[in-house]
Amino acid sequence: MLRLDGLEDGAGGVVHVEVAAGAHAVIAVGDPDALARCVAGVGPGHGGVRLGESVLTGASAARRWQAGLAVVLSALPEDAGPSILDVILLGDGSRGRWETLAAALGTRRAHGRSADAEAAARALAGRIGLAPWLDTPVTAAPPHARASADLARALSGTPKALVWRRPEWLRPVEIRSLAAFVQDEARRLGLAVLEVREATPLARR
Amino acid sequence: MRRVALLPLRRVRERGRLVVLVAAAVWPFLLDSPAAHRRGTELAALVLIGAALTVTVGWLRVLALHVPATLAGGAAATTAVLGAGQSLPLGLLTAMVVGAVLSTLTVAPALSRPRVRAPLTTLVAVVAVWGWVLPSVRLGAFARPVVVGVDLAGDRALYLAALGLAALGWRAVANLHVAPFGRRARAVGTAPELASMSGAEPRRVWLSTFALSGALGGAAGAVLAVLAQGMPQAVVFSPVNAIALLAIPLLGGREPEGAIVGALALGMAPLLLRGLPEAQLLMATALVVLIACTRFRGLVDGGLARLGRAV
Repeated sequence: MLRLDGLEDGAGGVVHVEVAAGAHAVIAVGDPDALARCVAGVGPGHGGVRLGESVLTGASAARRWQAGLAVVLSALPEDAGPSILDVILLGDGSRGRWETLAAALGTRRAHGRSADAEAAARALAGRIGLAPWLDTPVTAAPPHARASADLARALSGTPKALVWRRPEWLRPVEIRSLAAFVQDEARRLGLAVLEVREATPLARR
Repeated sequence: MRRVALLPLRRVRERGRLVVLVAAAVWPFLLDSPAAHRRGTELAALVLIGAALTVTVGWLRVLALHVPATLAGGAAATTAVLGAGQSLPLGLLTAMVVGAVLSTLTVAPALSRPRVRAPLTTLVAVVAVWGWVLPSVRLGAFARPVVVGVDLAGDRALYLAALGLAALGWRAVANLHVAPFGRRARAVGTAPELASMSGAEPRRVWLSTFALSGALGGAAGAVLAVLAQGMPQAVVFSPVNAIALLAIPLLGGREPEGAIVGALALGMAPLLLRGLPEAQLLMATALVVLIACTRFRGLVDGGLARLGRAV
């Protein structure tokens, strides 16, 4: 279960929400980016974050990721990686210093693991519709490919909970396709999904 | 419509790269003179230095000036171990450990804002080692050792050993470049927030990457010490040399192949400009200034890649 207690949404609001494993909750806030960054542990803000038994309040972004909390901002920095595939593989975590030593030495087992990770990333990219963009530099990829790549990066780490900033700047058909993918993956993996949308000015009033 | 290639261009490019690497490795044997073998050994050390700089300058995108300090540490450790009559593998291992520790110590004070502070802390470390530590250290000469039945007294045998070590070091960096370790280090260099959100601890990544770089620098120092049969000339460890060595990753680019291309380009300069004093230093410094003033991304991932696509 993902639980957020008293997180600031960056526009003066405070968020309290609980999402059970396998459930999909949607919240609309004034500044979705600020809230998502706050949950990820890379932005300013106070409030409690808890995932299952793990209390992640005040934990570093890396610690939150390692506990199984994946946050998707749906936008990638210009220089996020040489290719979309590299960005997806970023979610493929470190496996300890001995594995790093094995990778440096180029052992057969390390090659096998690397090939497995790449195959899994390609399969994930195929499911999300990123296959044509895998070898494209991030700078040359269109916005929907970047949003999909960020989502695929988060899912490649096998998270327990996903906080997904809905990419409202994309075309409606692209958003619907990503939303359907998130729902499918959540059902398949039993993820707690929190979808963060931007509140319209009317709703904010 | 399916495009039909008249020539297997990708294969031509890959083979071309292989031909360049083989030519770079075998030219001392073609000239077959002690001077050529000594020059080849220096080039092998430069490739190790290039690999050390690829992981810091190329991956972390930081102006790291620590390499002469790690060279000095590696050379001093090897000289001390071999001078005490111990084996070369032990000397090499000690040099790598000393290089890794020194390198980590140079970046440790800069971890709060590493990209801004690391150039300063690494420069201070190089100045301290070159100006204060090295003049106070007295290490004697030693005879080149015999390793697994191979007498390194001959320049040819030493070149072969140095070539093997450079190949191993470069291969390790090339392997790590596509492993989670290298991918995270590159992400910490270019998109630190995304890297953190993907499980990378930036401080740990900075420390471990500098440790790797220091180990490679220490190994290069060991090669230079065995070549000189003692501590190499002090100019090798100077702060000016630290800036000149930056030409290797800046010229070569961020890819591992850039270490070889940059090292060859920088190492061959004195051959081309024979007669000019300090030619290598002059050319390297001019290159660093030139590259800093342009948006050149390196021969391998910039120029050569673009050329490859055009072909």
